[in-house]
Amino acid sequence: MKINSIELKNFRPYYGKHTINFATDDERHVTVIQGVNGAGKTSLFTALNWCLYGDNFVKRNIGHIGELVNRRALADGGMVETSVELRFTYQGMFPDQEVEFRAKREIQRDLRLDGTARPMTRLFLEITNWREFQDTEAANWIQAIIPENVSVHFFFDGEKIDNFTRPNRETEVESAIRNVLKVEEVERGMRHLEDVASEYQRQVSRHASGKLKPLLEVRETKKSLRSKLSKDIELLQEEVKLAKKQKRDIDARLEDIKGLRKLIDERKAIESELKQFKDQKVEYQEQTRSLANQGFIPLAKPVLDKGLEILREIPIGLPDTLLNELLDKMQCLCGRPIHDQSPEMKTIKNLLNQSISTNLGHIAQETHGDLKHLVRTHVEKIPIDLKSVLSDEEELEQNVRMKKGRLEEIEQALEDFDHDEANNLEKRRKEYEQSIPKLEGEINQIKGRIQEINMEITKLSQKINAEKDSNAKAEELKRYSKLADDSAKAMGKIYELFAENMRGHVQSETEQIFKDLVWNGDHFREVLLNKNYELQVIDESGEDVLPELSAGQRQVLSLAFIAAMAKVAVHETIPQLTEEPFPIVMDTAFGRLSRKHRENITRIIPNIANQLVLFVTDEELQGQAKENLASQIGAEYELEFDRESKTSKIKEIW
Amino acid sequence: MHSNIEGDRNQQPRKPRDRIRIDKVHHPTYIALTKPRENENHQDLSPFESMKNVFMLASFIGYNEKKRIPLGKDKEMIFAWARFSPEEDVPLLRALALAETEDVEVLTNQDRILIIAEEYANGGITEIRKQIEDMPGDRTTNLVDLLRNWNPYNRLLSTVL
Repeated sequence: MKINSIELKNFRPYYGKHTINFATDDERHVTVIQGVNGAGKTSLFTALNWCLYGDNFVKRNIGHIGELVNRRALADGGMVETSVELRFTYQGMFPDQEVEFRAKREIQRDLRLDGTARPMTRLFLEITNWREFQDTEAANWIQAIIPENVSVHFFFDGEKIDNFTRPNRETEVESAIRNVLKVEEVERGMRHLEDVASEYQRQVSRHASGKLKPLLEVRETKKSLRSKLSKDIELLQEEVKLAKKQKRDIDARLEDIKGLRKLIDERKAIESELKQFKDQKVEYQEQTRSLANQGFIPLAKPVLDKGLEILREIPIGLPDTLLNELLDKMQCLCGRPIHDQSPEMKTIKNLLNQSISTNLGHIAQETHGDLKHLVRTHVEKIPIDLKSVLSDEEELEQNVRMKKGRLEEIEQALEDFDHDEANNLEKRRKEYEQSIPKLEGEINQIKGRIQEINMEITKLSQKINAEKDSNAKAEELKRYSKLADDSAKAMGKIYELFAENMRGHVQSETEQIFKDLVWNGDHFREVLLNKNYELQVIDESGEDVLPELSAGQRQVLSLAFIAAMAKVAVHETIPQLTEEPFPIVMDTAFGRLSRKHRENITRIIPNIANQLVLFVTDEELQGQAKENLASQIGAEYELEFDRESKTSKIKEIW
Repeated sequence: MHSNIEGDRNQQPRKPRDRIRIDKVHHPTYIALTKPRENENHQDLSPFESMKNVFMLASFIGYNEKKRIPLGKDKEMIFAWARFSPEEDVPLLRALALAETEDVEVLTNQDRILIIAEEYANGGITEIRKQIEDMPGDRTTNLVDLLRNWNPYNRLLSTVL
């Protein structure tokens, strides 16, 4: 970054317009602005900062914004415009072209309206040949080019910069390194990745409910139970089969016993009949259900009657389409022509008034026919059919009861038969016979249970699939989380290395520059910037003598530290973060320094910045110090304060 | 009596509603009545062969009991108009609409016919549930008893049964 010019208008002691063109040449890049105390140096320094950073800078350093307005201009009355316009180049965003930025901040104050009105500050930023921005947008651009927390290390008051070297100021040192060397950006990246990892972890816990395992276990248990029940059914079916076989075997043996064959044959015939009756009963039940399902038809008898009554009243005459056609053709149905006054015409019109639409007539006729048919075929027939089926079923039941009674008689006869083997066989047969329905009942019960289990398994499987999907998502999120976490850790290591590297570089550069700047550099063995970011100056005996340094020496050390940061920022940061060097603008540059220090600093400092602007008193820069800078001064101005008009003027000397 | 059935040539006649709706609250009853009931010997057939048959019986019980109840906000669609048989169900539903409105024009308005049947079914279904589903015993027998005990039906059958 290089500042090309600053133009002030009615700013503090500067009445009207004043311009300074700064030295920007590579060889001659030093601008000296000198003036006695009160001539307006600090106002110029303020103008630069106000233009870039606005009212907050003024409030922190001067006070009320209104104090920026030149008093003489105020006295002129009317509309007063106070402005600072800064032109600078910065290639950080446009590396391949020379781009000039023109930033202008202004206050317009209309004294004719209300002298006490709070003045409004406006900011304009023009990027040449490209775009213009205003206020917040413009301020954001400036923050992106040179953030305020960075600029304080390059635009500073020489008398106040020894903050770095006062005891317990490690926080300032650390934040200076972090801001200027962009260590913070690495740290921010790391924090961001940590946040991302945490967010993924939170999502993981939402998706991975841990329910999959218990669900799978429950499903397995159900499947095992189902398998066991199926085996139970097989065993029971085997038992039924065996019981039936035993029954048949017993019947065969009973048949062989003399005098029993007839009874056994009769029993067989009855049992066969009962089996047929069972099938017949199912058939009757289905017929009953089918007829009962049509039961709404006889139930609708009142509706049918009323519907038919209404439909009967509808005149079933000639359709309206035919009557309309006759009217259109003006002819009678028999083909004779008719006219408006003819009686046929009257008849047709009367018929038309009584007719219904063709479509409705068609539906009405159709419905009438259907309803009559229903009455004829269903309304009475369904109850009759139903009665018939119910009666057949009842007859069947009676028959079943009778046959069962006969079976009991046969059983009794066999039990009473005078033959021990026959008695025993019948007894066993009875046991088998009783066991069969019992076993079949059990089988049905188990089948029902299996059906329930199947439904439970289906539901569980649905839940398991949903859980699996959720777990797959959780696994994916876990991978993301780990990746972000690993990246954050990697970045943490980079951050540590980077910060450590920067600290090391700043330390050695500070030491080098400090030794060059102080006249008695040999007296100090080394300058340390320890891990806690405390600056230490070690003398020949190995003692930290920082607390004992003079005010001038501390200012020199601070300068050395700033210069070191400037140098490291340009050469040592990560390529993507490398900044264009910033200019160094020093107010009251050498106020506290002894002659020796001034001579050293003026010799060294032009080499550590690509542009140097010094605000000095006539006493600060003279003799050898001035000579040291002479070959590099590209612009020199003198500020003059006129006590009578209480205004300052800028006079170009060189 | 002129009909607007032809309508404006540019105006397409609206398609009549096709789905038959019931109050959601009665849906479980319709399901239960058309499903076999699990019991020890698994002999209990569903008393109704279809939801359509439940709906038809409910409509005429509702009419005979003079219980016409508009459907509430939560509805369930249970079957399509095509399930009604053209020989029996459709003429009966038309007769129901005619008996209700005494207006022959209702015959050309399927939407009106449906609404009348739905609202009577909404009134009649409760009676069916009480007498078939909630009563002990075989449900088909309960259905026959319901038909047998129904007054108009009973009068009709008094000479037969």
